[in-house]
Amino acid sequence: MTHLPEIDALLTRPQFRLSAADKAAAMRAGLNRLVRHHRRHCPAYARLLDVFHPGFDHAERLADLPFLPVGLFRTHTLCSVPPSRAYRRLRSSGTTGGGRSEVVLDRATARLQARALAAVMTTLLGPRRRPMLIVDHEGLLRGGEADSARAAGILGMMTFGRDHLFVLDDDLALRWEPLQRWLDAHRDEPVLVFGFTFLLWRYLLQRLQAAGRSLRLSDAIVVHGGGWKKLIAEAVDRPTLHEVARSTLGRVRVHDFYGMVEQTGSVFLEGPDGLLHAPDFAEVIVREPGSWRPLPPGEPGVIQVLSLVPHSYPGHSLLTEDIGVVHDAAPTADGAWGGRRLQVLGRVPRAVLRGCSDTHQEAG
Amino acid sequence: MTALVQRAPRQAEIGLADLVDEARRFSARRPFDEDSLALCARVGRLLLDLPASRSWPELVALGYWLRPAALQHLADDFAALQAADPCWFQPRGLALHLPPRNVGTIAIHSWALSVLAGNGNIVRVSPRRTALSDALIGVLQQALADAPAELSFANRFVEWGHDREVLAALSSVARVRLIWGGDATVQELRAVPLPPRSIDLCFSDRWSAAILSADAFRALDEEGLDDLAHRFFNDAWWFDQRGCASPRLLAWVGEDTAPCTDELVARAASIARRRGWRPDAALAVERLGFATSAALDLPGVSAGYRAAEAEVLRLSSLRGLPRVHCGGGFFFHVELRSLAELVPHLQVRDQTLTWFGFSPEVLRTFVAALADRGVDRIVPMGHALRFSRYWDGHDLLQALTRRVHLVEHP
Repeated sequence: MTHLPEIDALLTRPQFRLSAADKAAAMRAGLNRLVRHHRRHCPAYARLLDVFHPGFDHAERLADLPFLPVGLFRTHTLCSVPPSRAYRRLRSSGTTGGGRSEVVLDRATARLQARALAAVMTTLLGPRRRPMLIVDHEGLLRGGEADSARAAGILGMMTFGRDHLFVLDDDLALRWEPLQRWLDAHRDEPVLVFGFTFLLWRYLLQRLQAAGRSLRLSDAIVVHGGGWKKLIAEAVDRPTLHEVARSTLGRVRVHDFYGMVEQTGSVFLEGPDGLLHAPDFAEVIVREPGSWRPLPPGEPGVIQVLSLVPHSYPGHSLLTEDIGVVHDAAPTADGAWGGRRLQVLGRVPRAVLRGCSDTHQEAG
Repeated sequence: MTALVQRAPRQAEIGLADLVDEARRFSARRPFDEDSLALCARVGRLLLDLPASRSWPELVALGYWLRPAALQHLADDFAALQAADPCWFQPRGLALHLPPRNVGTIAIHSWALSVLAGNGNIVRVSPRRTALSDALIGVLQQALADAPAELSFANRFVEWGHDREVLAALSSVARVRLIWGGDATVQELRAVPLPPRSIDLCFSDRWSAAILSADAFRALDEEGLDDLAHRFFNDAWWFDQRGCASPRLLAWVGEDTAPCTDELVARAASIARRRGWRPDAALAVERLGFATSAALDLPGVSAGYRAAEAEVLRLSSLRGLPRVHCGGGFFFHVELRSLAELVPHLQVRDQTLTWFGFSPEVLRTFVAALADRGVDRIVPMGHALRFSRYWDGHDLLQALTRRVHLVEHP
C-alpha cells in the first residue's frame, strides 16, 4: 500500500488548521485502514491484535484504536514490508532506559516522512528557504552515526534552509569567525536556527550570554526539540529559554518540537500559545497509567501519538514513555493552531524498584 | 582516610580503620541470651508503636515477627535443635550484612536472627535515605540505646555506597557475609575476598509462583473466596509484586481453569483498588511493555483479566517462561493436569510456591519429586512474604552459627 488517499489530502494543505473533531473525522478511515494493512503484512502486529483485541474490526473513535508501547521497537523488529523492500533503518539515539529503537522504512514511507515534515515546516517557515544556522557540529553527519536520530533530524531539517552553517566545532565550541562571516553575509535576512534543545541552550545561548554578545538577528525562527530533561535539571524553563534567546539572538520566534524516531515526520510544533500542536495528519491522546482510559483535558497521563505516516512498520498508534497533558483547544479567529494542545511534562520515571533488588547498582 | 556515616546505635562519623578495629573487639554472645532477646523484642515493640507503621504494612509484619512470644518460639525451636544434635551451636562471630536496597525490612529480619545467634553485626545501610529507612533507623537507635553497652557496641548500621575499599576492609574481619541482590551484584560482591574460614550466604534474584487446586477453589463459598483473595493480595501486591517471593504465575491443577484465575485476580484487584493501590506511570508502562513482549515471545498466549490494578496473560505451556518480571500486578496463567507436570519446568532460580487447596500428601509427593530442581519454600497462599528463619534454602539460625563437635566419652 503506497497510496493512502487520506494522508495525501492532508499533506497538501497548510498544517495546524483542523479542529480536534474535524481531524478525527479526517484521520479515522486512514488509521483504520492502517490497522488492516499492518495486520495483513506484519505477523507480529496481527498476533498482538489477536491477543489483546480479539475480534477487533474498526474503531469508531480514535481513542478506540489499538496502540503499541513504543518500547517494543527496542526489543522487537516489527515490519510490514518484505525484506526486499526495506530501504533503510532508522535508529533512535541510545537513551537512559537502555537499548535503541529501530524501525524499517521502505521508499514509500521514507517519502511520506519527508513530505510530512515538509508540510509542517513550510507551514511554519513559508515557501522560501531561509539561511540556516545549525546548532551542532558537522562531524555528526560523518562516520557511523549517519542513521542516528540526531543526524537524521538535522539532515531532514537542512532541506528547509540554505547557506547552512554548523555553529559548533567537533569539541562543541562556538565557531566565532565563520559565524561572524555568515552573519555579515545575511544581515537583515529572515533566517532559521535549528538545534536540539540542550545544545541550543548550553552551547549557543549560554555561550553568547557569557560573552555578553547578541547576534542581533532581525527576523529569525528558532526550531528546537529533543526534550527538556537537562534544562529542567538546571531549572531552565520555557520563558527563561525564550528570554535568553531574545537577548542573545535578537528578534526571534522560538518553536519547540516534539517527535520520535518511531513517528518520524509526524512533528508536533509549539504554537504561539507555547503549547505543542499536532499536525493535521497526527493526533495525541493522554491516557491514565494502567487502566489506559483516555483522560480529559487538564489531567496528566501517558502520551499516545497517532499518525498516518508509518506504513512500512506498525507505528501509526503508539503509547510513548512520556508524561503529558492536553489542554482544551483555544478558539482562534482564522482556524490556525485550533486543534488539541499538548504539554509534555517529562519522561515516565524508571520504575522505582521495591523488592529484592540490587544492593549495589544504585549510584545512578 | 575513609570516613563513614554510622546511623545506629548513634549517628556519628567513623573512620573505616576505626570501625575495622572496633569490629575485632565485638564480643560474641551465647545464642538466645536474654539481652539479645530483649533487644529484638524492643525493636518489635517500637515498630508496632510507630505511627508511620500504618503506611508500611511490612513494618507491622516485622514488628509482629519480633513480638516476645514469636521470639520465645524461635528460642524453643533452637533449644530443641541443639538438644537433638551431638554438636554445640556457637556464634560465628562478625556477620556483615549487605541487604537489598529497597526492602529495608529484610535487613532487619536477617540482622535479628544474627543477633539471636550471638553474632556481632555490621549492616550496610543505603545512603539513599527514604522515609521508611529513616523510620527503621530511628527505631534501631532507640532500641540500641536501651541495650547493654557491649551489645550495642557490637551492632552497627553504617552507610556506604559501593565503595570497594570499604567492602574489602570490612570483609577482612567478617566471619559470615550475607549478600542480597541481583545476580550480577551477588557475583561482583562475592569476588571481594573473605578470610579463608569465613562463608558467604547469597540471596540473589528469585522467581515465585502460586499453585492452586481448581476443585478446592470451586468449592469455596463467598467468605472463603474473599479470604483467599486477601491472602493472594498480600502475597502479590506488597512491594508492587517485586518481592522475590511474590507470585508471578498462577498454575492450576484442574480443567477449564482460566475463569478461576480471572476471578481470583479480579477479587484481589478490587481489594487493591479499595486500598488505593494504583500502578504509577513507570510500573504501568513497564507492565504494558512486558505483556506485549510476552505475547510475541511465548507460544499460545491469550489475554485474560485486564484492569488498572492487574493483568493476566494465559499460557498454553510453561516452555520458555522468562524469570524476569515487570511487577505491578501482572500474572501468567497456566493449567496443569497434576503438580508433577510443573517439576520439569522449575529452575534453580525459583524460590517460593504459595499453594492453595492441596492435601499434605499431594504436597509431600511434589516435594519429593523436586530433587535438584528449584524451589526452596512451599507455603500456604498468604504466607509468601512472611519471613522465616528458613529462607532461600538456608536455615539462617544454623547458617549463622557454627558447630562444635564434642565427644564427651573416651
